[in-house]
Amino acid sequence: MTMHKITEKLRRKNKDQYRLLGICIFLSMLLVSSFAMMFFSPSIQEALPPGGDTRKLMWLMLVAVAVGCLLFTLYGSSLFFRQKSREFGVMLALGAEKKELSRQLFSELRASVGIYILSGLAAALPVSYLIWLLFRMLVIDTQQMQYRFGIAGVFAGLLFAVALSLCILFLGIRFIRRADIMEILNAGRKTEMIREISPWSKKLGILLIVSGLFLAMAVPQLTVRLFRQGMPAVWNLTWLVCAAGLYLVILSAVGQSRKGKHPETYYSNIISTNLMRFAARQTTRNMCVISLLVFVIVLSAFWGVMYYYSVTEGGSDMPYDYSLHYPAGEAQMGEEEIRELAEEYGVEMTSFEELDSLELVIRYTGRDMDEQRRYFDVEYEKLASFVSASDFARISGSQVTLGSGEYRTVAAEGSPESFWTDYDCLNAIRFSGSEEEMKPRFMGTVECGNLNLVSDPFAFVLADEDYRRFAEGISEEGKEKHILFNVKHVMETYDFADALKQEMTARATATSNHYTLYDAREEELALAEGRDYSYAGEIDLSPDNPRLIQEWKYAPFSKVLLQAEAMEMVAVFVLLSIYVSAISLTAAGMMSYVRSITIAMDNRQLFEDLKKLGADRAYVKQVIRVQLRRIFAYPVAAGCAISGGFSLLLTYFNDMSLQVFEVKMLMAEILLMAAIVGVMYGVYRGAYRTAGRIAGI
Amino acid sequence: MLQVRHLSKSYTSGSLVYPVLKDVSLRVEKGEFVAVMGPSGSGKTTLLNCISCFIPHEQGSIVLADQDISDLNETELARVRNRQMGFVFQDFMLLDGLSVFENICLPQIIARRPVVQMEEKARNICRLFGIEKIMEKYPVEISGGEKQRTAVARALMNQPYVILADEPTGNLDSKSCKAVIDAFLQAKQELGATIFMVTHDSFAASFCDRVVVLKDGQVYGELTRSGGRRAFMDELLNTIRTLGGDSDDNA
Repeated sequence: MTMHKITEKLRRKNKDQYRLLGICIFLSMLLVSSFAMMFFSPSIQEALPPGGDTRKLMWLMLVAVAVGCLLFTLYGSSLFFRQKSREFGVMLALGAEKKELSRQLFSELRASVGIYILSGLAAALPVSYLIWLLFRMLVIDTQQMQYRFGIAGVFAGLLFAVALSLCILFLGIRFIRRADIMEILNAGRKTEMIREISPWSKKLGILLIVSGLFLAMAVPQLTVRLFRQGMPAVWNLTWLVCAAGLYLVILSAVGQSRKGKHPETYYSNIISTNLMRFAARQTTRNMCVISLLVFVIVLSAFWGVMYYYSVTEGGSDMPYDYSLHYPAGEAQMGEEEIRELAEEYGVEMTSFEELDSLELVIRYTGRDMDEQRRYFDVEYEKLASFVSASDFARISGSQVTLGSGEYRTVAAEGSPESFWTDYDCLNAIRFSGSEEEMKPRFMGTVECGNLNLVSDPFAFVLADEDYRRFAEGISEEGKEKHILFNVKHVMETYDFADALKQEMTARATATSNHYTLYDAREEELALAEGRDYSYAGEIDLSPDNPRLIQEWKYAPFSKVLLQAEAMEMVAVFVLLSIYVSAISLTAAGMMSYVRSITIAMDNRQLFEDLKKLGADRAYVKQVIRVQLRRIFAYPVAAGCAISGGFSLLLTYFNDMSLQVFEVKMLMAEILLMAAIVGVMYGVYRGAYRTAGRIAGI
Repeated sequence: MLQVRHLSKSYTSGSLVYPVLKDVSLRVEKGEFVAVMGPSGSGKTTLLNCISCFIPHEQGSIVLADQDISDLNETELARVRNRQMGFVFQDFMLLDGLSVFENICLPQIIARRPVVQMEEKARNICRLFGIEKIMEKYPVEISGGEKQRTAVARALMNQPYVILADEPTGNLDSKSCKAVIDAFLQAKQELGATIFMVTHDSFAASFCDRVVVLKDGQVYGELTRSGGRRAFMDELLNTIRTLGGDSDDNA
């Protein structure tokens, strides 16, 4: 019998401790590495705009999941060391050298931690691939959705593994440095007592959460709108106010108990409450991490829904079901051909309008931001579309009165003014082929989403006489043709819409082969100044190109096409959001489960004592249930409430209004929360059963 | 064998300093069975923890077999604990994952002694304490008395100069308590063990050769057993009563 054999036997006997630590490490590695592999896959990296909000949000979520998983594993490790302390203390008391014991401990840790880290990392690749595959099978399968492996994901996983190992090493060293044998011997039975929690801590916590959300989400938008000054990056620290509030709310939920108006409830829960109070700090930290993960779950899912809605709902308010536009010089489809195609597909047209627009050089005032986040007005020069008042009245069905030298801006239906460009932004319109300009007067807005869609910053309406003056001598290159029509049962006309799109792409020439944001005047100015023009070049005009509608300047608009291809257009983003949600949900579920099991294990003796005092099975069950309910309910409620507030403030302060589709998105978020509650309830039931088994009831 | 000279120890809480041991001196001879008694807060357990070097002391020295163990480094202390001291704790401190036999072997396993001799010795000690039938059992499968006898057996494995016992009968019923005291007496008589026991149990202390009484961190007095056990216990109870302290009387 040697020390090695003794250690081996103790390890076998205490395999539950090792298994728990292993599960924590394996799951953390699996979740973070598979997330990183997915995020750093070239398929995702190419889809995310560089420097865009989506990319920033993804980083935020990756960091949040990594921090959550790290804390989860540290919690598992601290449990491991706590249980190990008795063994360590006995050995020290019997004269074992600390040096020798730490050598054994680290050798054991190296072996077990190493195995679980490598297994987690190894499992991450097939798991990320399988989830991707599942998504393609169940949701959408496009060319863009090919899984491509990115080595950066593995490096990110390795980086996390190093961080994880260092943290466990740190805990191990701290454990060994506790030289006081008495403390080590007592550590397994040591409980922590918190200071009395003030009765106002919950109210203060809620106040801090609301204030934190307001400070972090609303104040930066308000300063921009009121003072034209963005807040510095350090302002993000105001999130800590929210975090402090969350801590207080959870702490009071865990450790506060007063008779108040319901003494029956107080006495009924007295055992559970006091059991939780003895490990309040640890439990609170744990529950805060779970809340953070629930926040990530909801936020990520909401973000996916937001992406989908922003594409599908963008066209639902348009007055025309279909609208096409193309350079007047291009031989595209006319009324007769479109009607023939419609007839071929059995589509009945209910209205049909055609009009011309002039593409004129304008100077307009927009807004930009400098490096100090100061917003300032700047004048831009580019092309914009102009239609005559009579044409607009014809297609919109509403009277437009304009005198010479006046203009109206075409806005989208129900859409609020953007911060970046005011409706009265137009400073001057240049006559074609000359330096002469008109400085028109703003007379308000008119609405037609179909026209608003085709010109940046806006399309404009001119009085007929001004329109005629600008049209004089303008070449075909300076004109565009617009076709707008409605059909019966638009959502049943997908085949016709697809055929129309195919026909248009087939007829498109180099004249119209441009990116959506391409502007001939901007290109001209850039080249004259010797700058590169970023929107130059041709796009893939094949009808199979899933990004055609987003990329092509002259892509036909159709409600049915937009709806049908919306998922294709945002598939990568939706996949990513579902993936992040799934990962965070798994982590949150696991953490809550492990915490519940720990409670049952730690209090096993107390349950026995309660039985000796005459408690029946039902009472012991209730003691367990009350604790588990708190562990599950509070973080889920807090996470959902904070993410709900976040989404509400985000959507409102984005344009200082709530549109119908945004309200729909928020409703969808509530449904998502209900789904999360459902899943967590399932985990709670499982944890309750296992805890009951451990408690012997 | 064991000498405690002018030992002082205090605890601090914030800016307050609480002296727990005040200039305590005592001596335990080879083969002697000595108990320390006293009311709660008198410093009994602190004294034992200082002697074990589990906690540091501020003044004084502890001499074990002519060696001052107060200023030993960690490695030297580990060696002293393994070879020269044996410990018996109130809550047994057996490793649940090891059998009774393996728990008893632990001190020699740590000392890397030859296996054959170690096992032979462990078997002999088990036989001596009447626990050979439970050798293969695990702590969870045996009674409190058996656990403590196992702990006494473990403490004797390396033939230490002294056995330090902290409330060894504190968690036991009177029958088990007697069995553990018998184990100590057997160790003293048959193996010549020196035992230093902290207890508040007058019944257990009445089996000792001598009892040191502590009060408020100081040695209040010493009682040496000269006659029968019952008379000695009465004497102990009277002394404790005059101190106004707590004591269990299992007799």
